[in-house]
Amino acid sequence: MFIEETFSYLGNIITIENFLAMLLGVTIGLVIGAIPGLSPPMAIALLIPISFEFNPATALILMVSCYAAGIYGGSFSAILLRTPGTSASAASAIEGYELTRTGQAVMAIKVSTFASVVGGIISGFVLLFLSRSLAQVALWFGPAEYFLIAMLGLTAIASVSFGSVTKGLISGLFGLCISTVGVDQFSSFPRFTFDWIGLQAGIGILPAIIGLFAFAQGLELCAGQAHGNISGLKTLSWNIWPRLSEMWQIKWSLMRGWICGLVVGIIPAAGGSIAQWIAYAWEIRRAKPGDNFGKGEVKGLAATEGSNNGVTGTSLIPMFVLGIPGGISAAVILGALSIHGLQPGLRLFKNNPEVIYTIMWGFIGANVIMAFVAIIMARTFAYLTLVPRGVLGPLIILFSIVGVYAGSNNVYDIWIMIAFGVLGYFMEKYNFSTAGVLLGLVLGPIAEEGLRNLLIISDAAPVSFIMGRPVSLVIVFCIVVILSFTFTRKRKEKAQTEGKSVDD
Amino acid sequence: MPIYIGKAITALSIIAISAYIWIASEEFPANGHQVPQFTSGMAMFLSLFLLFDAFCTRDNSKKIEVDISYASNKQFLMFALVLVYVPAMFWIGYFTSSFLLLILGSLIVGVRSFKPIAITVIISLPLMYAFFEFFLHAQLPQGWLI
Repeated sequence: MFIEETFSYLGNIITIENFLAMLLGVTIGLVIGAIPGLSPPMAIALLIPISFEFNPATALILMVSCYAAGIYGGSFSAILLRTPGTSASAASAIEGYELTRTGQAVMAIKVSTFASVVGGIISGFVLLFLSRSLAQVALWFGPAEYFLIAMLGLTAIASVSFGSVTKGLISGLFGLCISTVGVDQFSSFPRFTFDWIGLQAGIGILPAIIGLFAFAQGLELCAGQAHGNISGLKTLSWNIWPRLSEMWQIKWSLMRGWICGLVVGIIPAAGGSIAQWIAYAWEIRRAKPGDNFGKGEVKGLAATEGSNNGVTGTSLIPMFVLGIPGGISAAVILGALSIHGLQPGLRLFKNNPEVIYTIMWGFIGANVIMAFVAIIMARTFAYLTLVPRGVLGPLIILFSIVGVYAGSNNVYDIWIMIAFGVLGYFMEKYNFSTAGVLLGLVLGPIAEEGLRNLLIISDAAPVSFIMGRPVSLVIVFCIVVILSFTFTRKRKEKAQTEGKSVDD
Repeated sequence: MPIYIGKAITALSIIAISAYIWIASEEFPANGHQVPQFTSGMAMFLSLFLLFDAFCTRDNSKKIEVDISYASNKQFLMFALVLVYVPAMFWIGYFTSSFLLLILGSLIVGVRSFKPIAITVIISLPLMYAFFEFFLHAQLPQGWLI
C-alpha cells in the first residue's frame, strides 16, 4: 500500500517545469560546487528568490537538485587540480589528483561520476522508502554519541596518514586545537585570538580547506617547471562514459563508500565531510598487496566519492521528518521549506504527501540528470589539466583568493586562507598530513560541544555514562577495531619494508 | 646541518608551541581549556617520539641542503606578489589587480611565451567578471579602477 502510494507520485516529476528545475539546480550546483570557496549552501540560498516563481514542490526540487550536484561538483576541482571545491570532497583530492598526475584524469572522472550518481540515487531511494523509520535513529544520538563520533573520525587520521602515523596524529591534534580559536560559544570568552578581530569568529572551514589544499597547490605548481602540464598529456580522451566492466572491478569499494555515506548521513551534523574520511580509512584498512593508496588508487577514490554523495539523500531524513537539519545545506533547505509554507515533520507526510514524495522523486531524478550534465562539464573542466603549470599556479592562487572573498566578503578570511596555504605548503614538504589538520578542524566543534555537554549531563563521570548507552558502546567498539587494524597494518608494512631492505 | 638535527628542532618547536597552548588555555572558563590542553598534551607526548626517532636514526652524512637559486625559490616570490596583491585589490580594483597578478605571476614562475598567458587572461577574467558580478552579485573590491 505504502509502496503503491509512493510510486503514484513518480509521474509528478515528469513535467517540463520540474525537469527544468532539476536541470537548473544541477547545473548551478555543479558550477558553484567546483569553484573553491563557493559552497552548496550558498548556491541553494541564491536559488531561494528564483524559487518563488515555482510551486512548492518544484521550488524544493530545484534546491535538492542543487544540493546533490554541489557536493559532486566539488570533486571536479579536487580530482583535476587538488583544490577541493567543498569540504566533502577533500579526501577525493588525495587519490583523484594522483590519478590526474599519472595521466588518468578521465578514468578518475568516470569513477567519480559513477560513484556519485549511483550513490545519490541509492541515497534518494533510502530517503523515499525508509525516511520515516530511519528518522528515529537520529534521536538515539546525544552528546556522548556526538563526542564518540568525532573520536571515530579522528581515528581515521591514523589510517589516512601515509608515512608517519605520529606526524599524522600531531596534524590532527593541531586541527583540533585550532578549531577552538575564537569566542567560546559556552562562555563568550575569546580563545587564542591575540586581540585580532579577524580571529574572533574562529577559523572557518572554508578558508582553511582552500588554503591547505588550493593555495598550497598553487604554490607547489609555481615551484616546479613552468612548462608542461600536470597530467603530462597533450590531448584528452573522449571515452568519458563509465563502463560497467570497469566499475565491477571496484564494486566492493563502491559498496563500502555508499554504505558509509548512507549511515553517516542520518546522523545530524556529521555529513559528507566526515563520511568520506571514514570511508577512505575503511578502504585503506582493506588494502591488498599491490594497491597504491596515496599514489593514485581508484578504489580509494571510489569509496570517497561514493560516500560523499551517499550522504546527500539520507542527510535530508532528519530534516524532513524531525525538522532537525543535518548540516548547513539542509538548514537552508529547511528555511526554504518554511518560506514555501511547509512545516517539516510527520504531518508533512500526512497532509502534503504529493509535495514531499514529488520532492524525493525529484531528488532521484536530479541524480540521473546529473550523470549527463556532469560528464560534459567534467570533460570541459578536464582541459584545465592541459594548461601549462606556470599559468595554472597563479590562476589557482587567484581563484583561491576570489573564492574566499566572494563567499564571506571578509578580508580577514583571505589572510587566514593565505596563512593556511603557507602552512599546507610546508606541511606537504615535510610529510605532515594536511588532511589530518582539516579533519581535526571539522571534527573539533562536534567533539568539544559533545564533550562539554557530556561532562554536564554525566556529572563529570563520562565513562560510566557511556557504558550505559548501547549506541555509544557500538561506536567505542568501532574505534577500537579501527585502531587495532591500523596499527597491525602499519606493523606489517614496517616488517615488509625491513624484510625488503634485508633482501636487497 | 644534519637532517636529524632538523627533525629534532621540529619536535622541540612543537613541544614549545604545545607548552604555550597549555599555559595560555589555563585561564579559559567553563571547561574551555579541556580540548586545547588535551591536544597540546597529546602533541607534546607524540613529539617525544619524533625526538626519540630523530636521535635513534641519526646519520651525520645526510645534510640539509639549502638551495638559494632562483628556480628553487620562485614560489616565495609568487607569495610576496600575493601579499602585495591582496591590499592592491582594494586600492586599484579587483579586476585590474587580478589581470596584473596573472601576468606578473606567470612571468615570475617562468612562462616566457605570451600566448598561454594571453589565452588564460582573455578567457578567465571576463568569465570571472560575468559570474561573480552578474550571477552571484558578489561585492568584489573596487578601487580607482574596476
